[in-house]
Amino acid sequence: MGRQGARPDAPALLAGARLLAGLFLVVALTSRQASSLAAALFVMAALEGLTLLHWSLARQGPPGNDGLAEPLSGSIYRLTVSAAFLANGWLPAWMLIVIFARDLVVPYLRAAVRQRSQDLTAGLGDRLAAVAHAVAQLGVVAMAFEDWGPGLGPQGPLAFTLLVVAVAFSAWSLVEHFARSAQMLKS
Amino acid sequence: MQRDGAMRLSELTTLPNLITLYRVVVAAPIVLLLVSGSPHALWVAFVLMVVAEVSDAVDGYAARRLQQVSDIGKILDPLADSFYRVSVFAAFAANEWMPIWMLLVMVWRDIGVAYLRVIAEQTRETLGARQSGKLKAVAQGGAQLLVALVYAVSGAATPSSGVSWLWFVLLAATAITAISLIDYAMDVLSRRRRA
Repeated sequence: MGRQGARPDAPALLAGARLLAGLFLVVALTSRQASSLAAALFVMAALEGLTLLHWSLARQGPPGNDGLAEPLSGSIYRLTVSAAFLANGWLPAWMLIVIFARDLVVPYLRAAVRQRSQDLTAGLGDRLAAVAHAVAQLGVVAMAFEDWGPGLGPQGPLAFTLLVVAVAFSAWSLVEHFARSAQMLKS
Repeated sequence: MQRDGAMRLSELTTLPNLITLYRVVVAAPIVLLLVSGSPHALWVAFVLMVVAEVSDAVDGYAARRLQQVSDIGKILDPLADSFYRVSVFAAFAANEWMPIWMLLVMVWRDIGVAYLRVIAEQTRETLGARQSGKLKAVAQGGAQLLVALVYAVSGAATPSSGVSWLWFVLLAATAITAISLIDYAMDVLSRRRRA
C-alpha cells in the first residue's frame, strides 16, 4: 500500500509479519495438536508483543503507508484467528459476524469521511478492542493447549466470557466510529 | 469515478437504499436459521436468501430508474453485499458445509476492497462497482443458493451425493472472489500512478 517506489517502513513490515503469521496460525490452530497449539501460542504472544512495538513505532514516526497498514493487518489477523476458532467450534458464527461487521464498516466510514476531506483516526474503542481480542485469543488457545480443569476448556464458560467481552469491545468500537463519522458528515 | 459531490445522510432513506438495507437486516435471521439444524428453518432461510438475491439485482436498477443514484448508495450497496454474503458463508463454515480457507478468502477480499476504497478516496475518487465485483456477487450468490437448496432438500443432513460437486461450485466462487480482489487492487494502483 505504500507509494510507488517507497520502501516499506517498520510498521508496515510488522503488519506484514502479522499477515503471514495469520496463515500459519490457521493451519496450526485447526490441526488441534499439542505441539501445533504450543507453536501457535508462541507466535500469537510474539505478535502481540510486536503489535505493542508497532504502536510505539507508529506513534514516534510519521504515519507510513497512509496509516492504513496497521488497521488492515490488524483486521485480517483478528478475523483469520477468529475463523480458525470458528472451524474448531470455539467461537459461534454470530461472534465472527460482529467482528467482521466492525472491521468491514470502519474502512467504509473512513472512505465516506474522506469525501469531506477529513480523517477518521483510531479511537479509544479500537485500542481497547485490540487488547480485549489479544487477551481472549491467547486465553482460548492456552485453554486448548493445557487442561486447566472443569469449565476452563476452549468451549467452557471462561473462554466464552473472554470472547463475549472482546466482541462487545468490537461492537463498541463500531458504534464509536459511527458516532464520530456521523458528526463529521453532518458538520 | 470522479466525485461530483459529498454524500448526504438523508440519501440513506431513498427506496433503492432501503432495498439494499434489506440484506443487512436479513443477514442475522438467515444465519440463525442456517445454523439451527432444522430442515424447516433451512427452507425459510432459502426463501429469504432468494429475496436477498432479488434485492441485490433490483436496487441498482431502481436507483437508475427513479434517478436516485447517490454516493451513499454506491458505498452502501457493496457494504451490504459483503456483510450479507460473508455472514451466510460464516454460517456455512460453522455447519462444516465449506472449508474454512474458502471463508477466509471471502473475508480477506472484502476487507481488502474496503481498504482499497479508503486509498482511492485519498486521490479524491470514489471506487465504484467493477465488473469483477458484479461477477463475484453472481458467483457467490449462485453458490450460496445452490448449497442452501441442496442441504434443505436433504433435510439438513449431509447429502449422500453431490458434496464433491458442491465443493467445486464453492471453489469456483472462491476463485472468482480472489480474482476480483486482484482486479480492484490493480485498478487502485493504476489510479495512484495517474494521480
